[in-house]
Amino acid sequence: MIYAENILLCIAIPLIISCLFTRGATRRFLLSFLTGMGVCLLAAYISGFINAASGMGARDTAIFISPVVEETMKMMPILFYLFLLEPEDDDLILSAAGIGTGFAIYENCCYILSVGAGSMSFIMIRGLAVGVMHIVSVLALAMGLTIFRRFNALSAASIMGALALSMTFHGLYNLLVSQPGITSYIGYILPMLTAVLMYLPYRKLYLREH
Amino acid sequence: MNSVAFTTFFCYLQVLALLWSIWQSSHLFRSSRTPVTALLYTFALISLLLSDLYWIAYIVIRPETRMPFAVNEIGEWAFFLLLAASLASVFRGGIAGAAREMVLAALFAAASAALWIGWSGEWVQDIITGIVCGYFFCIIVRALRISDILSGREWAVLGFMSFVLIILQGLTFVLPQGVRRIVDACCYVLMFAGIIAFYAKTIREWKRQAQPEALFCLCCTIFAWGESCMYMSVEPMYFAAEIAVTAVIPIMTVSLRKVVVKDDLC
Repeated sequence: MIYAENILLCIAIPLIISCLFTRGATRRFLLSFLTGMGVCLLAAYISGFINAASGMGARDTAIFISPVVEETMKMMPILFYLFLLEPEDDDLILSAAGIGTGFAIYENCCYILSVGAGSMSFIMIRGLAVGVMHIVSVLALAMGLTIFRRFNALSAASIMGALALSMTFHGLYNLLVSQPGITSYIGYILPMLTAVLMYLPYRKLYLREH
Repeated sequence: MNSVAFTTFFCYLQVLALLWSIWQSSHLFRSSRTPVTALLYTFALISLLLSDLYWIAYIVIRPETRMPFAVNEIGEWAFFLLLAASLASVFRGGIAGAAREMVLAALFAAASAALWIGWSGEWVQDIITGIVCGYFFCIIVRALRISDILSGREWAVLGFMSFVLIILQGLTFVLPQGVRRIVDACCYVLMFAGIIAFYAKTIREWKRQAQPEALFCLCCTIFAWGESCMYMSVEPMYFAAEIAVTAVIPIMTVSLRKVVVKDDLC
């Protein structure tokens, strides 16, 4: 058993202090990072509750329920930021990257503390696959929202559609890596491949605009 | 071939149709000056592709267990919502005159959801699927109304078929086994007559060189009707409805290309 709240406090306090001495985009990223960690803890609480209430078992909950809970929780602060503060596209993408990174790093910390850091292959999987997956799914959501907004297509249907798309991506990853063998290797490659596929058009768009 | 092998085979076919369509629509999105419809359509197709891939992965990884509520259903919801958003972007404007049809479409979706719950007992996902399908159907009938592609007689036939289909499907819960088979057969005749009629209508309008928006709307209607038929069918009729749904995806993409090209010219 690990004390997830204590780990959160341990990582969060230095970040909160550093927020006091930073400004602009750096502070925004740090706050998003902290939000991502908090959201990760809340998602773990909800998944744990569903696991206990439904009796599905930890493995099935991780495969079938966690993607829905985690993606919904990651979307909440993004939607809050988007509709209440109406940020620029770049600021929204930056915040989404912060939320995804905070979520991934906090989840990795908890896993490594509970399982141990002895296996290099496990560490690489946590870093290159799971970590990247959380960032990719939330960035895809944020990029989708910015594109919809830019073309006046931001509606309840398109937002829910984008959320459902990120849930499906996350769920597919969790299913693929749930079984050892060739499917798990495909699962491990999936987030990095998607990150590259997303980065190329984003970079092209960014260079065109700046 | 057993039913799982058949389902997987048709799933692969749909994946191929989707990959081709995603390639085409993403090209449209990049080259168009008014890319919103193609953009939403591309996202919709990616959702359906991920849903199909999830299903295939599940069959490979856990062939012995029945799939619980999983994200492939969420992928289908995403598809319906994003396709509805794409269609709505083509037909911007008021809903004047379409309110009655939208109410009837919502009632059809609600009745369908009640039937799904009766068959599967899966309350939560069937209710959410019903809400999502209801929204999708409403957008479709609104688009059909605005495009004015259906005549008054065709509207009446569509309404009558939908009403009779729901009544007959409902009766299968209460009728004795022998009569139920006859009623089931009548339901299949109605469902597939609807699919054939919509295909025939689309081909006829295509030859008449109808407005691209109307053709896109008709293709979405075939998809919606075909999906409803799939949800109301058991194998092997399920596969027949799936073929109809898969076949319309490339046609829908080609009709979308016409819409985008027309928008760019205007």
